[in-house]
Amino acid sequence: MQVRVDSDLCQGHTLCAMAAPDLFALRDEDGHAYAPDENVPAAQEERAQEAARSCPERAVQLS
Amino acid sequence: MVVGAGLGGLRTIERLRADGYPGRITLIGAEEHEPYDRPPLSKQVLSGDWEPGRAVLRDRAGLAGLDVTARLGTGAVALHGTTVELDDGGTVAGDAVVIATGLVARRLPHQPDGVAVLRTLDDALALRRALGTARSMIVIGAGFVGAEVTCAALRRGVRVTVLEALDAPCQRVLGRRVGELATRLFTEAGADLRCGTRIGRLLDGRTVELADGSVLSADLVLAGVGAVPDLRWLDGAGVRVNDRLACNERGRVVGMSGVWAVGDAAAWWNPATGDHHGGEHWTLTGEQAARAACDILGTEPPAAGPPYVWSDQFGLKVQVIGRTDTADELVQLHGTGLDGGPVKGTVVGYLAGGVLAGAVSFGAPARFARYRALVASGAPREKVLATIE
Ligand SMILES: Cc1cc2nc3c(=O)[nH]c(=O)nc-3n(C[C@H](O)[C@H](O)[C@H](O)COP(=O)(O)OP(=O)(O)OC[C@H]3O[C@@H](n4cnc5c(N)ncnc54)[C@H](O)[C@@H]3O)c2cc1C
Ligand code: SF4
Repeated sequence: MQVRVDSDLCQGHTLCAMAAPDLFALRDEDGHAYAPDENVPAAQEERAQEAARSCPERAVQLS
Repeated sequence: MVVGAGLGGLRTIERLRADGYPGRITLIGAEEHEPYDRPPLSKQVLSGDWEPGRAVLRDRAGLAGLDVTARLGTGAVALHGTTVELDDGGTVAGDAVVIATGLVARRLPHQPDGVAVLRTLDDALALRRALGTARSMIVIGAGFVGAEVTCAALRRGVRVTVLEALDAPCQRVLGRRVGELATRLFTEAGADLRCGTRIGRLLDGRTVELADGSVLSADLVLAGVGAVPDLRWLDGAGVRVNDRLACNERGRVVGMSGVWAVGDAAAWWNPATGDHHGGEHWTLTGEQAARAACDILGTEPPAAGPPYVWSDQFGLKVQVIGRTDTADELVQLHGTGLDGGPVKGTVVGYLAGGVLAGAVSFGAPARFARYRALVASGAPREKVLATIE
């Protein structure tokens, strides 16, 4: 599984990082999130899904 | 069976399927539309940045992918045990019923039909059309939705007068002092904000009579005075409904068996505060949906986070985390808005008994993120101040 944050959609709610702190980092200026490593470890897949669900902008994309 | 095809209903179903629920699922929704998301209605949809289709959470194909029988455009009119009666004369029986019927716009006494409200996608599209030709507008109620509509109208060059009964916008959420920052957002953007204004009555779709007898008129009037549940369809279900449906901390409706409620229509028991508490928030609705689904499945529900709500207004994001209504002390954590400086960049902490109960941010999302954990853990003042940097 791979995770990315669509930076055009992300509005900096930072909820993804709450759901999966190990998968996301936040940019200082605007709270926008990014995934430092797009590859999701198997043990984190559930959290990645949780993060995708918790993003109000549907900016967290899994593939 | 899930009644109400909005956020709560859909998220419940998604969770049930994600966790392996094998049974049949029927989704009953009064609106014809595919399940859609409401926050964009007063933001991207109203401003015209989004076509309405982008607010759809799951289209028919997506629902089929969840193996759901969707009866959209069909309202529930009665509940007997776990059997739901529909307005087309049919009935649907299930082992479990989840009620996620949300709210309807609150109406002022004798509100004429020509007065706009904003709760549904159809409301948003009608309002967007009306804003296309209006030159002036009256917004009644300076809550979050009122603020967002005001912005959309100002952006289109419409003159806006905002009538608010309390002393400041969003005062119930922000409190009086921080409400002053919201006041500045309205006035600095060019809205004519009149706080402490009592409405007498609405004469027609364009004319408002104030309690002092003066009369205001505009091309368009919006009543943004909150929303209430419409649960009359449960009248015969053998449960007393005062306002929202009282539920235990897993979403089971008190006094019923096999019935859960999630989202805006529900007031879940909060063990920490010892009361039934209803929210009207996107995040809370999703959380409750996940918890109720787990309770139906008999699995361990996810932990609840502190309440979170946001609003996009006047070019910045207002974010509220935790509880602001219990505070006995305010601290300005970032920025200088409370001292007359710019509103943007101001973050305020709400302390109750020396611990951080809530926080509000005006356009400072990255700074704000760190306070979420501090609110969740109930951090004491020293720890909060040490975090400021
Ligand atoms: C304009 C607007 C802007 C918002 N902005 C924000 C925001 O910025 N941030 C935030 O946190 N929250 C926001 N919210 C709140 C958020 O959208 C709600 O908390 C959320 O939609 C609640 O989900 P729900 O499933 O309880 O109800 P809803 O999403 O309202 O869905 C309920 C559905 O049930 C259907 N229904 C009702 N009665 C029946 C019946 N008898 N039979 C069948 N179907 C029925 C309704 O037609 C409706 O489609 C906003 C709400 C609105 C209206
Ligand atoms: S939750 Fe969504 S909008 Fe918020 S920071 Fe994460 S990706 Fe961005």
